Amino acid sequence: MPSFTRAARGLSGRREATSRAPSPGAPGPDAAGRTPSATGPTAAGHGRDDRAGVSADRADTSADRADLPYDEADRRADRRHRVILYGGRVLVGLLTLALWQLASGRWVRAFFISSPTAVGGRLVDLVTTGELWPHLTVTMEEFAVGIAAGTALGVALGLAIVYSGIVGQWFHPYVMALYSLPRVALAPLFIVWFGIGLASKITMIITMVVFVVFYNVHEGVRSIDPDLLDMARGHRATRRQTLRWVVFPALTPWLLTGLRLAVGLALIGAVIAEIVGSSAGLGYYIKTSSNLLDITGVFAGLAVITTIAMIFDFLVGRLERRLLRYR
Amino acid sequence: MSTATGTTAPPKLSVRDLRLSYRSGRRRNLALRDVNLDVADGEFLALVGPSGCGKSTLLKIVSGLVAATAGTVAIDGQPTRGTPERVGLLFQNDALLPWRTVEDNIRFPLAIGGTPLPEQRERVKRLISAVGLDGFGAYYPRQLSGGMRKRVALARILAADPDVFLMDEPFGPLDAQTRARISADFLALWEQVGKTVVFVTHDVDEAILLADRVAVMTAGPGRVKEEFQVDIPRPRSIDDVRFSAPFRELRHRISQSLRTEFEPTDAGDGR
Repeated sequence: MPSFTRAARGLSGRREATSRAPSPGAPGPDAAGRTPSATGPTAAGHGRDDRAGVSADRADTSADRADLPYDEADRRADRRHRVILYGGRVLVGLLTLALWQLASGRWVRAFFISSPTAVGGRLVDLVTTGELWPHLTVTMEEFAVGIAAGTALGVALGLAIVYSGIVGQWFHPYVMALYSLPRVALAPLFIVWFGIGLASKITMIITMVVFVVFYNVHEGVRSIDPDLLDMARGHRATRRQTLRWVVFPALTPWLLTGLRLAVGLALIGAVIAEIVGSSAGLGYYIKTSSNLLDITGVFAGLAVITTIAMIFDFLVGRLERRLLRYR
Repeated sequence: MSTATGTTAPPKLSVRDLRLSYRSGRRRNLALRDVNLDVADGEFLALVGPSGCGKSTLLKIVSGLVAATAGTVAIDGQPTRGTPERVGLLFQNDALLPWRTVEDNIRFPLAIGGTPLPEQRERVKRLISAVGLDGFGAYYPRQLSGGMRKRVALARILAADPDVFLMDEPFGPLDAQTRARISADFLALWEQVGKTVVFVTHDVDEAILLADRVAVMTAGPGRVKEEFQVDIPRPRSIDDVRFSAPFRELRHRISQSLRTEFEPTDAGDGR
């Protein structure tokens, strides 16, 4: 257990190390205060006695991370940690699939639950025959346009409500009321209003996405450290400068959280709208398979959707690591 | 380098009959009551007082972050409006931008003021050296200790280069050793530039060591109660001053003046 947490600390330390190191001439981050020779007498001297302040300053507990020495032993512990982490993950997945395969046709009739091999075979068919692409591109198009529009609208709405003062307060409860509407129930309505094409799907996705983003922006703006805003004001920053230097960076983690949730919600919205009324898309494929009692087809469609969700979640995770490396 | 100018010179900063009341629930509370204060050009004034006496609020009013209920603040005889240009406030917590590097944090006032980028970088480099943070320019605040973050905040206010430095218990949350070292460094820096400073602290020793004059404030509603001239020659060595007779005598008098403020009977009778 202790070696485990140490490995985790080492891991975060390493990430900082690689993402920082601005120029070859700069001293290594781990030389911050530990090795006086690397940083020169002044800085090292301050580094040393200032660290005494760390214990007194509770807000400061992570400061020693910069000073963590990172050597071969840590590297090995990291590697072991990664093997255990990812190896375990893959194992859980494989075991689940194996159990499914085992159950199929033995404990449960294969007709009801299909099997991993059957689903895999179907996926290969879908790709090789090219049947997948029209469905995939339709859904991806809805997803891309919907999530972009929904996020933009959510950000705009969040900023508008926070910064419009009393007017925003008038609208706020209604936004929250709309949020609590079961949007699934609106899908048929959107089909009636906007037809079975792209527009109804995008509308559906927007209603799914906009509230999460709105809520995150709203909370994010309210949680900005007032001292930072005062600091900007004290330096006579304009509104635009304040947005650029303080507000948007402070919102970034909130936006990323919103985006992460939005990926899943957007896919749900797209599939629901497609199931309710469409002529193409992954949801359409799932619905037609289901109508034909083709359970393998349903699972194949779900597998594709899950894969899309995982890819985008991974991409947002990557973006997060990049944008939030200051943490 | 600098000498405290006499009372005949026009005050750099002048606070007149400043009053601040605020609503708390159904009542109106008085935070500051008729505060009067003059600070000469190049003078180092320390404000001491019990916590909650409105010292910090006074600085926020002078820097334009809080609007006073009544009274005026004037700089060079000109009443201020909004955020005055020649005033810089050093916050109690360092108020560094966590998503910006040390360099960018120090660069902030220059970027806001529209200094060309090459010149920004040049000045930032010098400031990083001045506060003893060479080699840490690319670090994020999270990676620094409390004392180092203070140095960054100090460099940032030096980058803004105001005529009047307002410092709100700037070294408060640090441990005694770090604090002594930073105070000494700051004192040395200040003795070079000789700008006007208003320094809020609850530490009487720190006030005497740094300041030309110490003003004692009353418990809320805050008011300037008494002022003490610090006639200890500069440049001062903190370690030597601490054990000198004038220091001990002054500390005794200021502590006396403060002590009455901490007694509950005095706090409430609205003297």
